[in-house]
Amino acid sequence: MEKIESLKGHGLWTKVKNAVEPAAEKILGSVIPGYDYRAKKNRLNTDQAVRNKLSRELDKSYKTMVEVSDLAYKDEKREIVDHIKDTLNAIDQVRKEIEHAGYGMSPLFTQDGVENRNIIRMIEFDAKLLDELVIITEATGIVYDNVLAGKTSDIVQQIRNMKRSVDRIRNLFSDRNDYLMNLA
Amino acid sequence: MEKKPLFFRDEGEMGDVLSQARGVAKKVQLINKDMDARIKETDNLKEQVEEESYGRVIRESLGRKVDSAKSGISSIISRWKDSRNRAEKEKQELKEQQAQIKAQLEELEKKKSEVSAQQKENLSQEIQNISNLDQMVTEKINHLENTRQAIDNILNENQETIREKLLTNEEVEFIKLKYFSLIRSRLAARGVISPVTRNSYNEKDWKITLMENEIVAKTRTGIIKSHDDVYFDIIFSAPMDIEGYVYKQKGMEITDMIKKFINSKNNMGSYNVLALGCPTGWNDEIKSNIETINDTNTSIYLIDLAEKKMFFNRNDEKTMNTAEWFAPLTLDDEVNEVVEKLQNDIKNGEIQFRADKVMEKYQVPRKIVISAFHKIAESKSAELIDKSEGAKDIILLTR
Repeated sequence: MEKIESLKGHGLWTKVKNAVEPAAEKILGSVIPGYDYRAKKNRLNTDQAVRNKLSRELDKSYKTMVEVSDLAYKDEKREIVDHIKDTLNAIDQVRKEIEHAGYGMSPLFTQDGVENRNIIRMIEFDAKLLDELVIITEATGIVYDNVLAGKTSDIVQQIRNMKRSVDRIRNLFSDRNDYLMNLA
Repeated sequence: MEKKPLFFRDEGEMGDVLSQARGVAKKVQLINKDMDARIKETDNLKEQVEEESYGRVIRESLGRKVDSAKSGISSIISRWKDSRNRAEKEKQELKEQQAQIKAQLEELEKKKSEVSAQQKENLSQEIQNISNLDQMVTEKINHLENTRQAIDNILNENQETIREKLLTNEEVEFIKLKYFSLIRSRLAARGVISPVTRNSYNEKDWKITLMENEIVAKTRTGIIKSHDDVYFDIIFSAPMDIEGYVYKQKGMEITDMIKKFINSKNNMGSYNVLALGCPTGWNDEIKSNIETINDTNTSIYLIDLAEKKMFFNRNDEKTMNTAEWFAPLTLDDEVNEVVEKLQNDIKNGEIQFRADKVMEKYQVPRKIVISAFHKIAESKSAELIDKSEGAKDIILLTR
């Protein structure tokens, strides 16, 4: 059940893609309470809630990977510790960017009327980000389980894949920032 | 010597963890989808139950009682069945008792011929007592038979029909209050011209008497010898309840009441109206009879408060002209009322309305709320979000 809850965001993009706004907002609203870019007064709070959610998801992955790193350290697998450290740094970096993103002056937050297509685009970004993060959270859990089971011969490869995935999230979030600052 | 790893034993590959994570997430997505479908299904069922309650009463004042009454129809029928079985059993027992009494009587009659005068008298008394008892048992049996017959009649009706018409006593009371309040508001706002004497009265001339199930409104004329000139008698007439529920239509049983009214008002020189409102409607026989009543100074109306319809003689000019006094609010009127209230709320800053909340707030049936939503949405000042779009209930969102 816990797993189900943690993955509740997954598939949001597929749902959002198939749904017509404002239904899409409702779908995300089921994951992030109060999700609403329509009313100006709610936009800043919505963005903050999305970023908090992303940050919390990253935090879960980060903590799990720290656990894995500790085990690697105990087993004197320095090389693996280094690879994990790279991934942890990537997670930490993107988490900081998400937490400290400053775009309060975005037209989304300062203008009353925002075109529908801009709102839909924002919803798309949020849904994609949440989907990706849920995958990362789940993947770190799988890595941890496999380490406990002793199935570690391809761990480096998997950790590098995860880092790539984290990098993709960082790029996606950066695209979201650019969009926010430049939307007409 | 190299330390043996505790965890990193390389006993196998973990495989593509990202793909596995996607697989797990997909499964969860399917579970969620299934859950969504179930929730939707439940919502649909709920809506069906609510739809069934449409056209009868304002839901809120009755709260959940209405829903439970509708959903509890099976248990009511089952209770009725139990009551019928009990009546049948009791009847059987009484018949056995009666057979014993009869045997006793025969025995006593036989003994009577064999005993002395004094004993004969005692025996006669005894026989009388037992005969009374026999009579009582017979009455009881007849009463039980009537009960069983009444229950059978109910059970023979189609279950759906019962559900469609079923009203609780509270619902009936609420319909009455609403209709009487409508009539009173009309009396407070309008004067009247008697179609018989052509005398004209304003709204302040009404003398109104309120009773539990009746409103009498009249105007009086004449200074020295005053008498009624226009006389409206509005009676709320609900069928008897059966175990707390009312569903039968009324019919010819009101004939006497109408006859008495017409007779009592004959030769009075006044214009007299009898308006009878029924929460479950009227049967075809009484409706067709009413539509042919033609009396010089009397008009009779039947008001079906379930279907919001009126029945009267449309060929009689005075009756036709007076009908609007007693017309129940139409569905359109009710929808417009809710539209007006919602528009006021919008002016006061509310931006979204959920159907179930509006039902609760304004005490109106679901269909009225949905119609009002559509009406507002048609004006392009708002849009509707339905449950398929993830809303808990239909939402009216202002632009």
